[in-house]
This record gives sequence, C-alpha cells and structure tokens, in this order.
Amino acid sequence: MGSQQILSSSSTNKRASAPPKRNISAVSRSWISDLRRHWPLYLMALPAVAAVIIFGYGPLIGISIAFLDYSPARGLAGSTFIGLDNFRTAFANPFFLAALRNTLMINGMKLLVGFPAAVILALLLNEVRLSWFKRVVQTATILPYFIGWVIAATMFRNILAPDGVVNEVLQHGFGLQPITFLSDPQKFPFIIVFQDVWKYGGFFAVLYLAAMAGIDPTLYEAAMVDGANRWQQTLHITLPGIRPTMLTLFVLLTGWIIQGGFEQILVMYNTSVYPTGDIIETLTYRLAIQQSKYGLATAIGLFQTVISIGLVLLTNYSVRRFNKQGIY
Amino acid sequence: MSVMKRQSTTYWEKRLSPAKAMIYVVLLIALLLTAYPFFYILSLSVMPYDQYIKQPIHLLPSGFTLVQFQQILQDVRLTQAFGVSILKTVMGTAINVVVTIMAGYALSRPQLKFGRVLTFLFLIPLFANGGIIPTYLNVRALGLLNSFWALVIPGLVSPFYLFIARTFFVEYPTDLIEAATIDGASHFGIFWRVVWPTSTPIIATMGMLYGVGHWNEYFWSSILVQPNLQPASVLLQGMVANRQVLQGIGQGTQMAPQSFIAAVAALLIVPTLIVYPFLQRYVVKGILLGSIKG
Repeated sequence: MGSQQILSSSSTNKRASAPPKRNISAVSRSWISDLRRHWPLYLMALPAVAAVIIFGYGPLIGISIAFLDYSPARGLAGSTFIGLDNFRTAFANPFFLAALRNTLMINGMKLLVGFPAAVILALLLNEVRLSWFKRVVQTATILPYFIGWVIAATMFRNILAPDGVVNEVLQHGFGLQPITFLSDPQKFPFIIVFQDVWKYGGFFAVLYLAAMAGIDPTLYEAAMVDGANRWQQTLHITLPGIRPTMLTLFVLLTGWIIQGGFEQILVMYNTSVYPTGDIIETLTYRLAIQQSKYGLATAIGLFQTVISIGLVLLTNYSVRRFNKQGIY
Repeated sequence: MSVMKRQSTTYWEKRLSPAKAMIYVVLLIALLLTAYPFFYILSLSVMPYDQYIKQPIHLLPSGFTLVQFQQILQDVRLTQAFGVSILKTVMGTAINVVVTIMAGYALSRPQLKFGRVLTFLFLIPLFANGGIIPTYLNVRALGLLNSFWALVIPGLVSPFYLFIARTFFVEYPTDLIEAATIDGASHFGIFWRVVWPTSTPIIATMGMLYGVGHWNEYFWSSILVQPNLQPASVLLQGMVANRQVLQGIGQGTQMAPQSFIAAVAALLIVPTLIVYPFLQRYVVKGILLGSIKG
C-alpha cells in the first residue's frame, strides 16, 4: 500500500516537472523553485561542474592561440591575430610533415595489429577449459594495463638495452652480435607498436570476453545439434556475438590514428630515432617547451583534434550505414 | 562465468588435438611476454652486486639483497618523490572519489531540472580538449603552477568516470531513497546515510580508476611543478632516460645502476600488484558499466 503511494506520487512528480508547454516566465519560476527545493543536490554537483567548466572548457579558450602570434611575455591580449599563418607554417615545415607521417604509420599499425590481437586473445581464452590456466593468462595479460608508461618504458629499456637481457642472451647464449633496438630508427616504430599491443591487448580482450559471456548458450547447443564444430561455432556465433563491442571499440580507436600515444613515445624515444619515431605531439611539445612556439604548437594540436573527431564521426557514420547501428 | 562454459563434444574434451595444443602454446607465449618483464624488474631489484657481476646473463634471479632499497631510503630526493607520489595518490583519489560520486548521484536524480544540461556539460570535454599548451596556460593562469595542487586540482573530475558513476546511480534502487524521503531525511542525509554506505562497488571502482591514474601519472607532473614536488614516476624517467639523479647515489656501496633503477621501478610496481585483485574486479566492471551507456 505504502509503496503504491510512493510510486504514484513520484510519477506525478515527474509529469509535473516536464509539462509540454509553458511560457518563459513560468519556466524561469519553475527553475527557481527547483533550485530552492533541490539546492543540496546542486551543491553536491557543484565541485564537479565547476571543475569541468574551469579545466575542461578553460583550455578551449586557449585554442585561440592557434590564430595568434602568441608569446608568453605578451599574453593573450597583447598578441595580434594572424589568421591561418600558424597552420601554413606547420604544413611548410618538413619536420611536421615527417611527424604527421610517423603518427599515421605508428598509430595505424597499432590499430591494425592491436585490434585483431585483442580479439584473437579473447577467442583463444574462450576456448580454454582449464579454468586455472585461463585465470593465470588473463591475470598476466591485463597486468600491463595497470602500470604507467614510465614503468613500461623502464621494463622495455632495461630488457632491450645493449646490455639488456635480450642482448645478453643473444651474445652469451648464442654468440651473436648485440642488436640495437631502441636507437635504431628502422626498429623503433615496431617496438612502439609491440609495446602498445603488449600494454592494452589483455585489457581489450577482457571487454570481449565479457561480451562473449553474454552470448545466449542455447545458440551453441543448437549449433552443436546441427553438427557445427568449434571453429564453425566461433565463426558463426561467437564473432557475431561480440560484433557490437568490436564496432564500438573500432570506432573509438580510429580517433587515435592521428593523435595519441604521446606519453609512450615521450618516455621511449631519443634523438637518434626522430626520423621515424617523432610523432606530432612530441614535436609540438618540443616546439612549445624548447622554442616557445606556443601558437604553432596549439595550431597543430587543434588540427589533430579536428581530424580525430572527424575520423570518429566518419567511422561511426560508415559503421551505421553498413550495419544500421552506430555507437551514438 | 558459467554461461561461458559451453558443452563440448567428448572428442575435444578428452584429447589434446593439435589445434588445442596451438591455443595453449600461443597463450603461454602471451603469458610469458606480459609477466616476464615484471618478474625481471623484481628479480633485478633484489640482485646483489657480486651476483650481477658474476652472471653474464640476468634472465633469472640469483641471490637476494635489500641494498638497493636501503640506498633509495637514504636519498632525500627519492624519499621525497615517493612521499609526493603517496600524498598525491591518497589525497587526490579521496577528493576525486567524493567529488565524482556526489556529482554522479546528484546528476542522476530525475527530479533535477538542470540535471540534463549539467550532465551535457561533461560530454564535450570527453571528446575535445585544448591540447597540451592551452591546458598548461590554463593551469598557469589559475596560479596553480609549482604548487602541490597543480597535481590534484586540474584532474578533479574525469568526465568519463563521472558518466560511469552516473550510470550506476541511474540504476540505483529508488525505493531506498523514497523510504528515506518518507522518513523526512534531507538530500544530504539521504546521500551520506543511505546512498554512500550502499554504493561500495562504485566507490571502489572510482577509487581504483583514479588511484591508478594518480600513481602512474607522469607527464603533467613533469611540467607543472618544480623538481622538489615531482612524484617518483618523474624521477624514475629521469634516471632511465638520461641517467639523471643517479650521480652521488650509492657512494661507497657496490651497486649496479640497473639494479638501482629496477628497485625504484619495483617500488612503483609493488603497490599496484598488492591492490591487483581489486583492480581486476572493480576496474573492468566499471569500464563495462561505462561502455554500456557511456
């Protein structure tokens, strides 16, 4: 009885709070009464809202620097508007063009290798019946997700250094010449791609495994009755079952083709691998920090953000077109 | 998990077919590739110098010493850096969690008229950010540069985590809140006495997500504050990349620099390993919660 009353009262509340049409003064009056009645709730949301306005939107004002001949000494007000000059400077700069190419190469390879790797890892784990083995592998493969890039870099630098354990084994175990891994421009992008897959593969696999757990088991039973083997079951039930998760992740990951991976490269690279390893963000970081070219750096950053959002929207659009379901 | 166990034919169950053997081999390689670097760092961190010199290959642990860790404790810069790391993680995470849970709860209340507008505010920063320079200038303009708060305040709330928290509270059982309302409890009373104690899963998820983020964070700490306020991750990177900080350490002690660096790294890894069972449980859950509706 009591709960009935509560339910009906809450539903009338909802209806009263969203009537179809009101004039403006009535709207503002109802807002004021809303504030008066629920101010503690607004107060609870206030710190987060203030933080997102100051630290989420505040930097967006700074994007104007992209169109100014900004210098820290002159400040925003003292800088003159120079239109798209910073963008022209960027595209005339051979270092920027090289960094753009490196970014597309490295991040594109990360997507091409990392995306299927996670799916395959999840599919393989899904086939394992020994639960302890499955748990051990899962535990180990997600581990790198929870450490920072500095730790990941420490590990890779230690292991791949000229006096690292890999070269120790090559030299003293097999009598081979040591290999320079981290200062060789030829190898550096591949090490970065490998490290990225190493760090995130297990985590994405967990997301796929969770999706696999949600697949209706009767589908497999029906398939077995029809005589489908494990491979056919994987192909026709498991993969279609995780397709929504795959599409969502794919759409989100395409945004990272043009930007992202900054901290990883920053902690891994050195001057000798600039030709292949310098990405847009590391270049702009040096332009800003070492040369104080704030306007140029911001313009390049803005270019990246715009392309990145465009890529996500475009991928989402194509996915929706071909599958009738996007992620938004 | 039991849902994932499909029934299989006796053939697959009883015999190790080549395909099945392949699966185990590939997974074993994945296991080795991901677990070995952790093992390697830990084994190097406790390796005595004489063992390090004697062995041409340092693939496996040999001997045990805590000399490297003693040296870390004797270096003021390092102890201070770990102090900053701990303070930043504990304080930052506590503030992050309270702010995010409060806002997530408040913004999930259906009776709130501004709720939708305010929630929408968090959507744009999820996709667009100003980039490194505007963010740096923003922090500078606010006068936070070179203060401890520069490490905590700019990341007060993560829009993505806020959406995860909000999703949790959208699905929170309303009868609990309504019962408390009938009893005459205020909004604050309901939140602190009813909602907060019954939201342990999302509080744990938030704590883990923010905590790991603070502990591992490197880049902003390296540019927003002076060296004496930099956390251990920044010092470690300095040591690894250009052998900074290493001068003067371990004078009079015999110690391989690799072992010393490994010991610093181990101190950053071990706390993560200790909370690892919780990480696996709560972080993955949280991300899944966020990806359903986020």
